[in-house]
Amino acid sequence: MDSKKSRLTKSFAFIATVLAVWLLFVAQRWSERSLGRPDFLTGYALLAASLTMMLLSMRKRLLVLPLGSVARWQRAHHYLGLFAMGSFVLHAGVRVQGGLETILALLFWGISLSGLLGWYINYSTPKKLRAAGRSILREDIPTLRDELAKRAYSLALNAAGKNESACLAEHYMQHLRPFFQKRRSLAYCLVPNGRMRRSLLHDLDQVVRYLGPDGRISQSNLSQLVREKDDLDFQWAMLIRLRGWVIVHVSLIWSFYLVVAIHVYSVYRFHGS
Amino acid sequence: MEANPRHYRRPDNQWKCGLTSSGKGCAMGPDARGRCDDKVCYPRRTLQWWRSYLPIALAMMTLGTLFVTNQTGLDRDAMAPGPLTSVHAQLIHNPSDPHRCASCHDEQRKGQPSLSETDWNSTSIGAHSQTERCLTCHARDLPRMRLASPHDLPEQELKNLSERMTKKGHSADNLLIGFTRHRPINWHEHSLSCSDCHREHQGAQHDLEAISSQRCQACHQNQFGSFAVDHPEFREYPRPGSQSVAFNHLRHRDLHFTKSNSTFDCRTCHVNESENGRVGQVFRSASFEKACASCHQAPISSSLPDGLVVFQLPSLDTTGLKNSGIDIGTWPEEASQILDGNIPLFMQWLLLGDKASASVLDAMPRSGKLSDFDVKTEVDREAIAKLARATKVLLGELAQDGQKIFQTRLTIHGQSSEDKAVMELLRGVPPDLFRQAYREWFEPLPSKPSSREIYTSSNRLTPTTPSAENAFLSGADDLLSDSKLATAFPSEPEGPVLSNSKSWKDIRSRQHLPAGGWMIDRQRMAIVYVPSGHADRWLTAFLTLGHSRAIESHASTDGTDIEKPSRLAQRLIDECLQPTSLGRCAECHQGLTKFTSVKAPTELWQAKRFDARVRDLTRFNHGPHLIQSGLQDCKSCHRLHEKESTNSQNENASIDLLKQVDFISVQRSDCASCHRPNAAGDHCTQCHHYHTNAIE
Repeated sequence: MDSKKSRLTKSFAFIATVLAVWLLFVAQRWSERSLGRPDFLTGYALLAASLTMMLLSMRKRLLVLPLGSVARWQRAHHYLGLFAMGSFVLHAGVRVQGGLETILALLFWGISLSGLLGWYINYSTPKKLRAAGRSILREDIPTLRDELAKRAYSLALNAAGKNESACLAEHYMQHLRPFFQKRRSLAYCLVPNGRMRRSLLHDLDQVVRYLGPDGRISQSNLSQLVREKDDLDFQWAMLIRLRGWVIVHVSLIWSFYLVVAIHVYSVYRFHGS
Repeated sequence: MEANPRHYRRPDNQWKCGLTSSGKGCAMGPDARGRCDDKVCYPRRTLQWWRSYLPIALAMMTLGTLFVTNQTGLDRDAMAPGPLTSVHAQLIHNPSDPHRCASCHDEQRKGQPSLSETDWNSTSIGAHSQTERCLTCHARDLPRMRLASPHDLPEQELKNLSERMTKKGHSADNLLIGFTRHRPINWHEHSLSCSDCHREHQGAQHDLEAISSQRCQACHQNQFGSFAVDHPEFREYPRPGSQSVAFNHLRHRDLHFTKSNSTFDCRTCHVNESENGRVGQVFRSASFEKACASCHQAPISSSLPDGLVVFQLPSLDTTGLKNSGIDIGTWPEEASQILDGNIPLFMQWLLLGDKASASVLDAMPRSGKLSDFDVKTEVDREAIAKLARATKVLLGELAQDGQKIFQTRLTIHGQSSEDKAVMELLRGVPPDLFRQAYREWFEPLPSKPSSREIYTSSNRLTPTTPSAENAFLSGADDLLSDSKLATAFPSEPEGPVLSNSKSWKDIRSRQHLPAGGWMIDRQRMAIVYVPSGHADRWLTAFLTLGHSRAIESHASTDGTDIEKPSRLAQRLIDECLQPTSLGRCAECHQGLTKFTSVKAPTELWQAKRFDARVRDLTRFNHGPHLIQSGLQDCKSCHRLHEKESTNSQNENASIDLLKQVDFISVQRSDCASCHRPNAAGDHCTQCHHYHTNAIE
């Protein structure tokens, strides 16, 4: 029932956003016909939407006040962002000319696209994290990673003492040790994938034929540790992405408003009517 | 330091333990300033720190970049919202010129017009500063743009136009009512600026004149969705305008061309076709030489042989006068037979210019003929004597003072002696001819004429006796006769032997002056001007002056003496209307017979031509239309009023050719077949000028 209500709310919000952009378009045409300044109309609509979106950050800092849940504020922020994108297209068009205007457009689209990406990440990450296993705090992950590395090292050390499983220790040193000891690359954080996991497990499976019964048990435990480590890395990557896009999204904002201020000033300074 | 990383969960801190990422972080972590007692650990920034300070860092970088561009002067280009159109960019082309932005924008100070130079307290932002800058270049083409009102028309003129058009029967919805739709009608407070319609900085190829139809309709009450459906039907388009040359296409097609068995083809007169047959420039008004001369040159020439008598000695009965005791002094024998003739109009005009001479005309018989004088009465004999004296004085003054006397006598009281029409007339008057006539008629020739006086009554080129004013020249002749040069050059130079002077009297003026000009007509004892043909400059100047004086005659109600020349001019125009009149000007230039307003000479004589300075509301270019195969026949758009055909076939039908419109108006449907949104387009500005000074 809640899911249905949520879908209805989202649909309504989306339709309202599209309607608002359409109304702005109609107002722009009206202003055009009235020998008015349609650019001023869309420009101020865009500025108003941008400033309103800034209220989300303030709401997050004012948790004490009964101003509605942050989740609601965030949803409003998302739809206002969509409206702002529509307003920007009406205001400046798709193709932008001029140095300052180009910088402004790049900043705007940087913020907007990072916002859209964040919206997707916020939507998809909890599901993926749940699918990857138990929920873990990002701050705990290095410790857990260290524990896994120790356990993997211990297994390899035990295997090294036995002739029938010595090759497992050698395989650990050659291929698995870097995987357990080091963090994953930035590319993996951006696009997490199971390629390395599959490769390592496949290689471990190839070692089985050289192992005795005890060695095979160690190999099985080592494979399990590879899976756990990969899951941990996946969770790390997802949480880093969740934090990382916010930094990108937020870091462009002040530059954006700075250029907006210069843009508004120069418009009034040079519009000359 | 106890290693218990599970207790270390403070993501909002600015610093974190340097060993955290390896899973060996301490439980306490570094302090707020990032200091740690463990010398092995190097504390690191948290993501929260990056989130707080990265935006500030980027903003500072942006600010720094703007500061650098401003200091180096690069912000002139960076601030521009886009490249200028090519037409403006070529004028403001020098990138190193620090004042080039100021060509169009306010320059707050004399330094670089950069952001740092801006006077934030200036009140000149807005207003019309930029429009004024546009006008520094464009005011020459669009002088009325300074009004900043719709269509460059003054408010009152626009209102009058609306009222006038409403009276004519146009729907008020279709008129220029002003800012009635979206803006108040008070244009003084809501005047327009150039940038309301023309947007710069949209790229080099941007069309500044591409104004959307929606913007045009901001002021119009009636909204046009499309040309084909909503545009008002055309009324009298192309507009006939004020014609000065009476020409009726139907009469020519049905009467004159039919008689001469000629083909009536529009292109013969209106299209200038190049050798390869392609359609060239289209002329609304054809020249006389191109369109009319083939038929009208001969009748005009045949009307000119006698020329215009400017001055004539009246034929007087000098013997009778002498017997009555009245001495009129020297009077040529050729003009001393019987009392006959009349005073030419132009001469009357000149006589009226002198108060003493003007009284002579008052004593003239009503018929104007000298033969109607009753010589038996003393009064008439005195009048004849006065006429003779006035004539002699006039010729004497013309001979002595030349054009100056013309100017004095033709100028009406209260008017400038530099009257343009008078000056134009004076330009062709030859004073020496009047001098020669005076000598021939009133100074009897001696036996040995001066070498300068040639072609006189003698049958050789012989000098005449010098007059008093040429006495010094006679002395020069004497000096010459005694010199060696006289020996070298015989006193009677060799030259053509002239025929007997008596035969000169038989010379007809046209025969003597085939190209036109001035001559002494010894048969008529007159000074005659023979026009050169069509559009003779002196004759047109004479008739123009006569027309303007005739208008004054129509305007005046009292019969004061000052208006006499005007009434005389009226008689002159009346004579022009005669079928046998000189040049037969009024047959086609019927403006001569209209006295409603003072017309400029070009309006009186020339067909209406397009003036590049006049920007009509509606424009049309034949060029792209005549490329269409279906439109190459002019009659596809320009259809004659066939109803008038019957009337036009009657040669004697009385038609006011100046007022008659012989073409049916072009229909909207003629244009709408092509001018649709997805075809030739139907924007307002395709056919209409916004900046106009000729809305009618």
